[in-house]
Amino acid sequence: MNEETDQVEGEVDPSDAELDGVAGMDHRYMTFELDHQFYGIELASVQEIVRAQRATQVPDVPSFVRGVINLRGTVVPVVDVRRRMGMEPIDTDERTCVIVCSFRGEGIGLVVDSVCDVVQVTEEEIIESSSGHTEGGGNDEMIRGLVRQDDGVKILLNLDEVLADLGELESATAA
Amino acid sequence: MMNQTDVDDDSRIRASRLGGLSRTFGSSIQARLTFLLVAVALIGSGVNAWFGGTSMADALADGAHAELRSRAAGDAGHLNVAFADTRADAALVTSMSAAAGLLRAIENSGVDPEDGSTAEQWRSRGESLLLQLMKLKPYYSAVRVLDGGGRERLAIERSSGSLRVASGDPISGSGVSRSSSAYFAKALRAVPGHVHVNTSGMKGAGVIHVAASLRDSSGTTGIAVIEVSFARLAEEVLDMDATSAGFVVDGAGIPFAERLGDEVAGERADVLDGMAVLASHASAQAEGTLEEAGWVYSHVPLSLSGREDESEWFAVRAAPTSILFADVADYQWTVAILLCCVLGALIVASMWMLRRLVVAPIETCLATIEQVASGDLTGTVNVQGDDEIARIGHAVTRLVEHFSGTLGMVSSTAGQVASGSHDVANSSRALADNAAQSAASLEEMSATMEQIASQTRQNADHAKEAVQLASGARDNAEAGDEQMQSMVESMREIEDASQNISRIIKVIDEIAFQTNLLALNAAVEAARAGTHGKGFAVVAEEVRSLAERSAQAARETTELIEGSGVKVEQGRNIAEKMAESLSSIVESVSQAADLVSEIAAASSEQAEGISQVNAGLIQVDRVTQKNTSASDDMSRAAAELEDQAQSVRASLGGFQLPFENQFGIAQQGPTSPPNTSSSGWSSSDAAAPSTAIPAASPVIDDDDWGGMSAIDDSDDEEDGWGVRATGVDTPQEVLADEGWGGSGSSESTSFDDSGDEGGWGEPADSARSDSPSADGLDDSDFGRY
Repeated sequence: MNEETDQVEGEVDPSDAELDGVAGMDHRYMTFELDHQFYGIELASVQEIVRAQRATQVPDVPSFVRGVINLRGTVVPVVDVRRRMGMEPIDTDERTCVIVCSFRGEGIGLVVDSVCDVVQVTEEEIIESSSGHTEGGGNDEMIRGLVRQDDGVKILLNLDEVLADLGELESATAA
Repeated sequence: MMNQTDVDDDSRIRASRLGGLSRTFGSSIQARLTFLLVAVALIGSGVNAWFGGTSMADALADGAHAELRSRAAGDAGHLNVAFADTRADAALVTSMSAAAGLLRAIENSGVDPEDGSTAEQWRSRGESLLLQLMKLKPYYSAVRVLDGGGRERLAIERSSGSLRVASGDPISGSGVSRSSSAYFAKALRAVPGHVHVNTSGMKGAGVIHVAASLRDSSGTTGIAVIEVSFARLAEEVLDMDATSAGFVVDGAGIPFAERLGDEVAGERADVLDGMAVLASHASAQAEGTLEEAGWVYSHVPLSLSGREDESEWFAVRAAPTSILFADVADYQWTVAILLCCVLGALIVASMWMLRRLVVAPIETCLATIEQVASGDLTGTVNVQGDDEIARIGHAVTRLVEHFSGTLGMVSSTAGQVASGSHDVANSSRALADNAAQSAASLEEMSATMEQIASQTRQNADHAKEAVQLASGARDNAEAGDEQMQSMVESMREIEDASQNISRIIKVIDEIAFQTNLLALNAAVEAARAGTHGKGFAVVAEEVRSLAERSAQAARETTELIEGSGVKVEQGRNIAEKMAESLSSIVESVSQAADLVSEIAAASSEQAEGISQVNAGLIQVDRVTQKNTSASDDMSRAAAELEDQAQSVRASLGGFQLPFENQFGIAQQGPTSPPNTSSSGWSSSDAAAPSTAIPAASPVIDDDDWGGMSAIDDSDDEEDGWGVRATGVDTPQEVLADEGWGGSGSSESTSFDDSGDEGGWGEPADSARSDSPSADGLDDSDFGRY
């Protein structure tokens, strides 16, 4: 833990940040855990992290949409990433968090098992997954690539693809 | 032995009775049965012969009678025919013209007025005719023609076989006048065919006159007479039979003619003796048979004159019964001889069968029985078949087998008794020695018992001290139990405190989580701020690492708290188990205290019991001394028993048994072990009675030995084991009277109450091991002492 902490401290070393510059911002990822597997989304799209609260269910939405929550007066739809990724949903516990992302100017909540860390990823570390360790399914486009780091392999998600259906839905709703 | 003598006397008496019978009927069954058989055969054949032979003899006698009668009838027939001829001849003479002419010529002075012939001529004619007649009938002795005055005018006579003309001179009338003759008057009175018998010429010279009257127109002029010689007639007519005599008799039984057969010629007088009886008999009976004085007469009436009512003449046949019934006698003899032969053959055959079927097997049995009687029991009866005698033989064989088995068993038993009594004598002597040793041992035991008594008292004192120690241990254990309870309480409080700490740690962990969230949000905000938020991002990282560390510390603390909770739980369980152990220690210690106090009480009772044991040992010493004298008596009695067994075996030595080898083993004497002979019996012939084998074992049964060993010392009688047998139970009773049995029982019960039986059992074992002859004595009896 301490080493990891040290490593994190090392990554946020001011000299490194200075070296990367603004371009480095694009390569920081917020990692979270789903079913003992680490995933990551770009930190730039993350607005806020809140503890999971009870979602109000909304009719006539895709099955992976849990409903909506009230976030300081704003109604934010909440997506169950487990269900979106084709995994079995689990009950909400004290570690369950909601990562509020900005998608097309709107806030969308992603329900994850737990939130882990903010990591720095270089382009060289990313292994493109389009060559396909998943074949033909809808998940293939949701995965942007894989990152192998000291504490294991992290799957980087393409948030636009993850929330693509929701965007259509929202546009329909807006219309 | 008395019974044996009685049996001998009885058999002797029976033998003497039978001796009388045997003198009468022979000495063996064969002779007696033969006599019986002969008697039965004789009686049966006699009866048979009497019935069959009598009827047969009757039939034969009837046949003889009939034959005799037929002979008589034949005689009568011949005579009747002859006389009929004679009457015809007489009629012929009267109708002869010569006779009539002669008479007329004589009457008319020599010349026949009718034809002129002279008397001479008529006479010569007549003589030639009469001569011819006489030649024809040889039994005519004379033929005469008489004139009316009775003077004989024409006559032919037979004299000594030759014919003679006896006519007188017809002219002068010089013929013999026969007017006085009886037949003349009758014939002249015109009774034609009148027969007159002149009885003057008896004894074969009897003559019968057959006269017929001569008649012409003027009346009766004369008669013609034919004289028939009965002797010649008899020779001519009567049947010649060698075995009988023929007679012609008149009504008075006087014979006029006779013809005797060759065999009866010498018995004429005897025949004539019966004629008188026959005459009286025949007058009443026209025809019949008479048996008189050894002769049989059969008579048939004659009809000489041709008239049936005449019955003054009879033809008689006589024959001696000896000849007549010779066939009957022959038949009877033949039958008798045949019967005797058949009977003899039957008797011989039946004697042979009797010999073979009855007597020989009985003699086989008898031989074996005599062999057994002489003492040899090895014989068997070999009789085939399954009849009564064979069964007797088999029974005798089985009897001999049983008897020999029993005798062998008795012999071996006697040997065993001898050896057993020898052992008993040895054992008794050993018992006496042992009794002396026992007395010494008893004194040692008495001293030992004193020591035991003092040790027992010491045990009681120690047990009381142990009770006090045990109560102290119990108090200590109870104090430890209370302290353990308080320790358990402290453990429980530690557990509550751990739970409180755990709750606090959870709060800290929550705070660390939220801090982590805040740090992440801060990092997000810093990223949004771009280069301006860079320092803020560093602070956010620091805060987040602090939150991580506090969460880590909270997790470690939680783990520690949980481990201490588990250990507190384990300690609490151990403390509770220790508390239980302490409680059980308390209980056990109090039970031990109780037991020790009981031991103390028991030890004092034991001390009392040991003093009673001492008193008992003194009595045992007295009894042991009595046992010594009883053992001496028993030794003497056993020696006497051995002598008697030897005498039994000596008396059995007279018997020869089929199993000599077993017998020999049994005779080896007292040194041989008793079970050797019994095993020999069991391995012997299968014919030996298997049921007798177990019967041998009771002889050496322990009960009997026990009885032997318990012979009363007051039993001085030397004759008869029965008296000794009745005295078997007395020793126990004597001992009971002395109070030993009662005191022994009371002591044993008191020791049972004390609960310590080992102390009492050991003296009994030592006493048993001290006696070297314990194996020869009954255990139960020994245990009773």
